[in-house]
Amino acid sequence: MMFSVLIVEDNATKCAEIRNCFKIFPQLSQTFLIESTHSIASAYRVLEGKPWDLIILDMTFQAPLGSGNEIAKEALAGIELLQYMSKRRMKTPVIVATQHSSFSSTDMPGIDSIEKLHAVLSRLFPGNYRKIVQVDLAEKAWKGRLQTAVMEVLNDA
Amino acid sequence: MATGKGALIGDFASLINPKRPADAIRTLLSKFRALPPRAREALTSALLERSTIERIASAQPKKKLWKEMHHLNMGSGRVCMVRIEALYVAREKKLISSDHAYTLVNQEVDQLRIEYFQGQMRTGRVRIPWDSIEQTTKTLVDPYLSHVKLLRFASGLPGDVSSFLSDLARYVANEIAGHILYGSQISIDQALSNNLRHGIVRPRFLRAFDDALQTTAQLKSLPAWDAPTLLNTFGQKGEELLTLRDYVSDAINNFVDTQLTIMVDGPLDTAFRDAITNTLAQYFQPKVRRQRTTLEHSVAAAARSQIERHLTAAGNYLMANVKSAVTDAVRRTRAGLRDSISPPLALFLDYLDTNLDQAFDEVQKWIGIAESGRDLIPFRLSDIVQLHLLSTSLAAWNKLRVKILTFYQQDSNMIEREFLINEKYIGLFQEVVHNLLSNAFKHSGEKLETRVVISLTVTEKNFIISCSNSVKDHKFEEVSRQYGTIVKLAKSRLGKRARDDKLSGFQKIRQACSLALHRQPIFNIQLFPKPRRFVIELTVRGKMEIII
Repeated sequence: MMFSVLIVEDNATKCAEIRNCFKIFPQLSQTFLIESTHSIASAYRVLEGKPWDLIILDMTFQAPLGSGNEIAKEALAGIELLQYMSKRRMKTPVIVATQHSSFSSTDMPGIDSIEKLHAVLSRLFPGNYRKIVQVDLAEKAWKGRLQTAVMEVLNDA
Repeated sequence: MATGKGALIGDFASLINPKRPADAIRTLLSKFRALPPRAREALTSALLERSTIERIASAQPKKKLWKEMHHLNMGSGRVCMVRIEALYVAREKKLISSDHAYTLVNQEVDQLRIEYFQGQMRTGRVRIPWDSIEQTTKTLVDPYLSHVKLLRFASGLPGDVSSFLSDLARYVANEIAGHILYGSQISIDQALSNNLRHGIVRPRFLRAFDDALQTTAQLKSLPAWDAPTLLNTFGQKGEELLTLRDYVSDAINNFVDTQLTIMVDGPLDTAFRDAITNTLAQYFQPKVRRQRTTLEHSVAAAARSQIERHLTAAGNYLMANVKSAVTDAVRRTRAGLRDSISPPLALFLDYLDTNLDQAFDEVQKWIGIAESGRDLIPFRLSDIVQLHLLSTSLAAWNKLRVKILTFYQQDSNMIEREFLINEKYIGLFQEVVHNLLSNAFKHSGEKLETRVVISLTVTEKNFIISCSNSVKDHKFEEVSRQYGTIVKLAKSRLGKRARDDKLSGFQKIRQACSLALHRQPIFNIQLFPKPRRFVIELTVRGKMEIII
């Protein structure tokens, strides 16, 4: 059985590391079809293009360049996709994978920990959001946590 | 949070007729007309936002709008066009005022021009004057051709004529290679220096650090790389970042020195001489059917092929070797700090990781030959300044203290207004702006805090570019001591000093003027004590069609 996974991630190193996580699933019979997209805008197109079994979503994205005044990162840009999917009644499960531990932005102050973000996302997007995994490229433990989260989604499917 | 921008896009998308996606924006705006005033205003404003337009277009898979954007590979530029159209529709339907529409359309047109230039900058940057290279080749080869013709058809000469012609080909090829690679203003090594080595590649990587610092610390002032700032921003371990920055800087410098510099007897030098020797030898040999192209064109083509190969190899080396060394260094720093890392420091390393990744991608694309003269459009001085700052200084370039002034003469009056500059001078202005701004930031002692005024004045008889920069107190004494040497360097157009000077900004500007205008600039250097300012002014005399 083919299981399609979309990674929405603007950091190439992290994206490659997440892809690597799917190479080691000895306990599963599924094969994974993994694709990735590097911006929120392009993710809309990919989401509308075909149904996905799982989305691994980053939270913090590069703001579009050009104005010269931009803050180079938008702390909670990934939430936009959850809002869109929720509104469009797309039921694809989403695992948030982020390197960050604080997400406060001018629109959404006060989310200063992974736990708070998890609570907020669970409450607002119960149809899509499953779990949050903190990625730390300096160590490997997060890969196990991500694999466990993927397993849970697979078991629910 | 549940009903933010994504939900709005979802609502808009559900109102669009999937069979007529090209009319999406018009359809939505038409629907808004029936709404009460406040709702109409709020929705119109939200729809006309650039990011909304981009997302609506993106959310139309397989449909004409997105396919066009994707196919043309000009996503952001296409968004400008769609937004301009939307603004006209909104004005036509009286959803926004004409003045407001006009202001936003102008912003989009500016954005479109910048997108265009940024697109040009995403490709190879090494600008090589192929015409001049062909001309030089012809000048060097011509004196030998009459002898070659004689020998080709000679009979009864002692020894092997064919072998002699091969030796001659190697001799002439060495002479040509020496000129093309190193020996002249148009040399390939000079092009690598002007377009990549000199203040381009390394600053792009340092920008990755500056941008990460700017984003992490949300600095009101500009990022400074000193121990107090880092300790203040990141706590006890902040200074570790200086080590990492130095490591990356050294790695890039080493790459630039070894891969983007042509070494005598190095791989490119040898391959280059061999390729030109082969081209000449083939041409010199008797009974070989001549190609329709000229000899100098064939030599230039052989040279180009070797340079392309070399630059591709350099780009691959950057991505394979340098990138992996830098990624490891970031990883080591992260691992070393794991037990005592502060949240801002972790955030900085995350941003840095992404920024460096982008820097590697961009620089790899820069390491290629520029397609000169292709698809150029008129430009403004501000475009060139902005692109330079964005490229080498800071993503948030508007935070830099760089002021741009442009004046032109109309009848006997000087008018201060932005104007478009003839596209054929884009290379000249890029070179001049790059050298003047790099110089200003490098020698002011204030780095990104430097206040710079760059101005262009075009009259009927000449044009003048001036760059004035602030100078820190401690640096002022140093600059004062060097003032005499700087002035001599600026004025040396002839003699040994000028011949030996291949690296100064003055020489690079001279070469650019010579290539673009066949004229030499006159430099005027001034140092003012109150307020402390350093001013370089260059004047190019003669009537030129600078403004279009």
